[in-house]
Amino acid sequence: MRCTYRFSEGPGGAALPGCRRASARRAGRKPGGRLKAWPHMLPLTFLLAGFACAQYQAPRTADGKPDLQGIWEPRNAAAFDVSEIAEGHEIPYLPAALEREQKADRVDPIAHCGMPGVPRISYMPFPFQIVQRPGVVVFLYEYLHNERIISTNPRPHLDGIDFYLGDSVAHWEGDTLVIDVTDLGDKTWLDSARHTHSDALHVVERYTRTGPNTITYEATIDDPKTYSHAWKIKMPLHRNNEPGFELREQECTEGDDGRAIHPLYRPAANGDPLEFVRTYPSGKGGAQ
Amino acid sequence: MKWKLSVLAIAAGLLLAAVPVRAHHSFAAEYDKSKPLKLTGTVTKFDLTNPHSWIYIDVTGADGKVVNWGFETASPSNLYRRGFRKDTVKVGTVVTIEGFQAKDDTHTGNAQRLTLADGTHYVMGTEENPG
Repeated sequence: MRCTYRFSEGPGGAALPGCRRASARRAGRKPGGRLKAWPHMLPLTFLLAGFACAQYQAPRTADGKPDLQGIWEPRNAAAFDVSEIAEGHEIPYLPAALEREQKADRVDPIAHCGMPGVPRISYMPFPFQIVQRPGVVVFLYEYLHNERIISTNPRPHLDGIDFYLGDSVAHWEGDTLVIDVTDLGDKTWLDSARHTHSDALHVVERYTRTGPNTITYEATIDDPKTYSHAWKIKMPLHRNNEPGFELREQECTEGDDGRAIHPLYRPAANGDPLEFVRTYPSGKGGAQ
Repeated sequence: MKWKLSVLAIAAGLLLAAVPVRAHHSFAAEYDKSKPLKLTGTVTKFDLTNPHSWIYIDVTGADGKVVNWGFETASPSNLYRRGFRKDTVKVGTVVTIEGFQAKDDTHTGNAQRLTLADGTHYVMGTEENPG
């Protein structure tokens, strides 16, 4: 069954005949004639049809995989404070980890042209391009020309080495691209607001097309040395549909004062522009 | 924490003394092939990291004086392909490093080969001069 994206988007969309038939079949499974007896149930039936059609069917690549290709961008400020896209806006820190974090360097590594790591690279406020070939998904990020060339064939993770972007292994679960990332080390931050992690960080990213112009990005963030339990982030990625839009160079170099020269860190007239205040301060995750 | 800071201070001092930029550079620009080194010492700091790893060892001279030497190695990906892992050496591990000294005669060098006490050895050289 294929449904239109507009239908699942809201009341403005129109259901395809296939969706109506599906809802009729669903109603038909109920004891005969009851639908007629309860006409006020009709809106509920349409609501159920809406759920049935909420599953957007992504177009396929030549090898039959969901097509995620295109230029995508997050439109949020999670790179400054990841709590914005965290479930419940809270990060379940272990007390010892919170203490460690309070003592950590107060300047975002990115302010010195450091690497953003995973998952932060996914919500840096710059576009990135996904390119697919059979057995491989390539992420090209405009931000500091990062790239991830990820095999979708299973293999064990590397052992005994850390990379800023970790070691990624992917597979398909239905329409979702699942990327398992380990070997990330402890040098990167999750955002500018000093949300940190240890070298035990394990990230599982999920990319699911939810429309012609959207991907839902979800990630489970686990780190038994830092968090009491795994927690989740979720955000939409939006396709950049500007005609002729292409990725360009986005470089980072350090100025005379050792600070990065790029759009995120312009020197401020007063205050330290390198230290960001958390948007969602909390007893569990807020460093004040 | 204090020892960490002092090691960092030494490391920073060495870095500053050697060259202003520690990013990407050529072997020939910084190291002297006519100054081969073979030093045995105890690891004081090591981090398998991009772009190049540095390994620091305390070397006790004939006069009993301890000097901290810093050696640049190949990129972590290349070391990994040669069998080297982040826990192959730790602080306190005794290693012998063969390489070439920096042109500016500081206590820095380019590592070509690292040998553990049990005789296991690794090629450590950079891509341009893999040893």
